[in-house]
Amino acid sequence: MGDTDRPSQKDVTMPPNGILYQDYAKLEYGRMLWKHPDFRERLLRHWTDPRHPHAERFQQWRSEVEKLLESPKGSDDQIDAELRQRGLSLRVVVREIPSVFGDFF
Amino acid sequence: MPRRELKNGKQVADWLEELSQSISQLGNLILIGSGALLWHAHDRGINAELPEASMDVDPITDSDDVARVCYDSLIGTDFEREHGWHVNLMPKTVLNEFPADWKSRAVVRRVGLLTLTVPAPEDLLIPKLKRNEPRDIKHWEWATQIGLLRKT
Repeated sequence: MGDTDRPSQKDVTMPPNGILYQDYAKLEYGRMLWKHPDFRERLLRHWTDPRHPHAERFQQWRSEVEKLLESPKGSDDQIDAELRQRGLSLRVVVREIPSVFGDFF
Repeated sequence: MPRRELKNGKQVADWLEELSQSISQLGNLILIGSGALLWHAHDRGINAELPEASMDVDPITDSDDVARVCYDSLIGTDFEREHGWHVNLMPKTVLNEFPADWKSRAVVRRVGLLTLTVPAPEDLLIPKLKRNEPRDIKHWEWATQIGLLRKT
């Protein structure tokens, strides 16, 4: 690539599943570490901590979020189809996975 | 006193060394973003500071051990307080932003137990230039000026 051939914007792409990368990272790494009991407990303690800004919201979504984090890698399409039968979607539930705030994690 | 922002490649190399010493089994890490550009500069012995310094590094990993360490380096952690920047785990799907053959141009290094893969600067810049924000353009100009890009 030389000085004058900077790529243009014409190839702009969205994440293939329409879920923002930052949101999907919460699912990908949440799934990866959910299978470790100590880390799962740590996440749950953090997400239910009254200092967590989304602790109350997490309580409302906890069942869906836990089910999603227990699901195997590669099951996104199947889960999305199941969720859609209930008026939800993978995108909606992924957004309900709370963030991790390092100052009290 | 450590730098309060991510501006040179030694900071990235030091972090990778530190991370490799924190894991107890073999692990993989793919580094993307401006931290990866800085790593290339350092790897080639180029001592050049990144304009519009970064506040994070963007790793991708399929290793539980590596991911655990990264969680302890997220925004707001002691790691961030000490280093002035943080770790921002990215999903593997972000690699779809690169050309399909990016791996053939990537640099692969062993750092202790860690296998580090860093896409070539040309590939790292593609998603940045798709975004086309002023900061990303400055990073492309910087990479060009310091000779990180292959001439075609």
